Amino acid sequence: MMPFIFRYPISSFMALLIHVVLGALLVMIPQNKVEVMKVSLVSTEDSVEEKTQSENKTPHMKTFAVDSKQIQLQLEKIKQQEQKKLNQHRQLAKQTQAEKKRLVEIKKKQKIEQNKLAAEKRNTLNLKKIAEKAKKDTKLAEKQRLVAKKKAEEAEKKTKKLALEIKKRDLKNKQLATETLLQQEMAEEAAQERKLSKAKDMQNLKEVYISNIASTVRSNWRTVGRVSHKAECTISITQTPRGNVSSVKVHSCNRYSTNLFKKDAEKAVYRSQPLPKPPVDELFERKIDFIFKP
Amino acid sequence: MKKNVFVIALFLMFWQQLSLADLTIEISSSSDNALPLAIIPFDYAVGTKQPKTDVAKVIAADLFSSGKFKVLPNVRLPSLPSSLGDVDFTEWRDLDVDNMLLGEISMSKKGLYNIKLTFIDLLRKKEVISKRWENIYENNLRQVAHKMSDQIYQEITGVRGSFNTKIAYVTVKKVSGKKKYSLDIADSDGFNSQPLLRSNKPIMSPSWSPDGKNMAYVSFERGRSEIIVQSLNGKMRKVVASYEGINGSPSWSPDSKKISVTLSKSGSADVYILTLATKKLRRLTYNFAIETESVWAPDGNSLFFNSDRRGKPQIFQVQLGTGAIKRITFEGAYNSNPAISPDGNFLAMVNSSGHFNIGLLDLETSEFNIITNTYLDESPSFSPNGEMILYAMNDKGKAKLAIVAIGNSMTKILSTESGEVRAPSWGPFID
Repeated sequence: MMPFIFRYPISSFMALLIHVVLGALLVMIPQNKVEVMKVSLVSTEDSVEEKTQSENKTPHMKTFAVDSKQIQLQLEKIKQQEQKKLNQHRQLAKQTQAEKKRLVEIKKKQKIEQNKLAAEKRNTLNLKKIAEKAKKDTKLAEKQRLVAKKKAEEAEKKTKKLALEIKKRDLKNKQLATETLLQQEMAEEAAQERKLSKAKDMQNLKEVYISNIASTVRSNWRTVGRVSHKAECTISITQTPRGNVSSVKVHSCNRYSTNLFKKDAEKAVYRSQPLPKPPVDELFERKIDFIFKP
Repeated sequence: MKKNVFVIALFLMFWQQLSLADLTIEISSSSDNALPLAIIPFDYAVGTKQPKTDVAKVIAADLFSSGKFKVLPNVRLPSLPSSLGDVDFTEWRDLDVDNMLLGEISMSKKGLYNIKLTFIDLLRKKEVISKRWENIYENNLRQVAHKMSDQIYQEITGVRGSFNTKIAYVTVKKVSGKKKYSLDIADSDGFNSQPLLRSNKPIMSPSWSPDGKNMAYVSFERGRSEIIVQSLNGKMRKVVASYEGINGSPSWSPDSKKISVTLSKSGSADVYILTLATKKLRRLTYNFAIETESVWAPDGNSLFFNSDRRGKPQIFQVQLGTGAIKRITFEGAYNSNPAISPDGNFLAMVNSSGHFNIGLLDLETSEFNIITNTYLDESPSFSPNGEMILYAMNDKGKAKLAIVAIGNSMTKILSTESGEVRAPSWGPFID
């Protein structure tokens, strides 16, 4: 038993719960029924009591001596008394009739009442039956409900699980999407960076290229004249892809730059032929500008 | 005095015939920082008489002696182009040759020489100098060569060359036990020497007038020191200072109108200025120490001189306007024989901290350098372009001259076969 409970704690609990609920229902349903009947009974007794009171109000008879006149009077009186008696009789008869009627009525009433009672009894029985049926139904319903509940629960569970799964999936998808997006972004960023870095690399390479040319020119710088170490000019070279110089312009010179300096700078360029090739072919520039300082 | 001049002039004419004693030249060191140059053997037109002077050789020697050029030996010439159009630039580039000199020599109708010289920039692939001389006497071919050297020097260095200039110096020879003195003038490379004065008595301190017309010097021909000014054309010679005591160290003012001299007529040797036209004397220094060896600053506003007023000789500067005197040299214990560069920026002198060498002081930055490594150097004299210094030195007990290129220490030594050479002075540009 216990291992069963432990094994199926929820089911066991549900079973226990069902029993408790059923028990509670069994106690509650009959009580309700009794109360209903009592009320009905009380009302019947009340009406009976009232009738009993009206029976107790019936009047009592009296006897008297009479002369001629008096007799007459008496006769009359007697006549009247007779009449009265008769009337009384009539009335009595009437009353008896009424009583009979009343009794019949009562009987009738009683019968109705009995019928009523029987009906009620039947009714009760019916009710009982109904109750039982209801109970049964309830039980069934409960069972069904439980089943339904279970089903619902299961369904819910399933739904929840599904929802959870969906949620999970969504989340996963979302995560995936986010990840993908992130990856994409990263990729794009990387690409951009690569592009930038390539551009930067290219820029660096270009700088290296130009500084190579500049340093080659510097290494070919020769002068036997007096040139200020402060002399500085911009050299603009036009070259062929083979690094042969097609033209040299020495310009934008500072005030320390003499004509000799400019001439010797130009010669240094020609002496540097062929100019260094770029590290990458695409970096080749037909026109190269750099600042020259010996 | 007029008689004296006449006698000496005759004497000169007589000796000139005997004077074939050109100075011998030797190069004592070379420069690494020199520009490679190709001189293609000159093209002599058919029927041209081979002159004694090899113009190409003269130019090569001039340029080489400046320390700024190295001439490719003929055996290494890959080809002999005759014009710019013939030049294969790549073969010269491979040899690292930047410049090329081409020459054509032919005879003129007068039987004289026509010379065409072309200087080619092999880097920029163009003729940068193209010159023609016509109807040149054979004797003047050296001068043509020096002129071309000057042109090339200017093209390459930006500074006018001073190859086509003259130098003056005193030679001393022993003839049958007696010393013979001669004041000679020669080309800057020591060739074409001519005596200006011969004497049995010492000749000292020749100094060129800046206009190139006259020479001032000290002569002991009359038994005592006198300062004589002599025209180079031999038409004028006169004693300008013959005071009691020392008459020495003449130096011309930039306008060639005055000379500064050292006189000891008032006791100690002091510097005076003599105005040649008026013979007026102005005393510049009043010190009991020896004040001598004065030279004019190129602006004419001050003079540099040597004074031992501090115990040992040092160079001082005196302002002509105020008479203010300032000490200039502080390097070493001994500084004498000042010479000022034509631009006034450098002072050369004999400096000694044990050895006597030529020192060069940058008057703007006070940077000081010893620029010679010869022995007992004295009497420095700037070339007119300021690029070289001519000075006297002693080689194994024999006095010789040397020319050092400032900045690269290229040194050329000039000497005579027999005898000694001293007291040089570099003449001005010849226009």
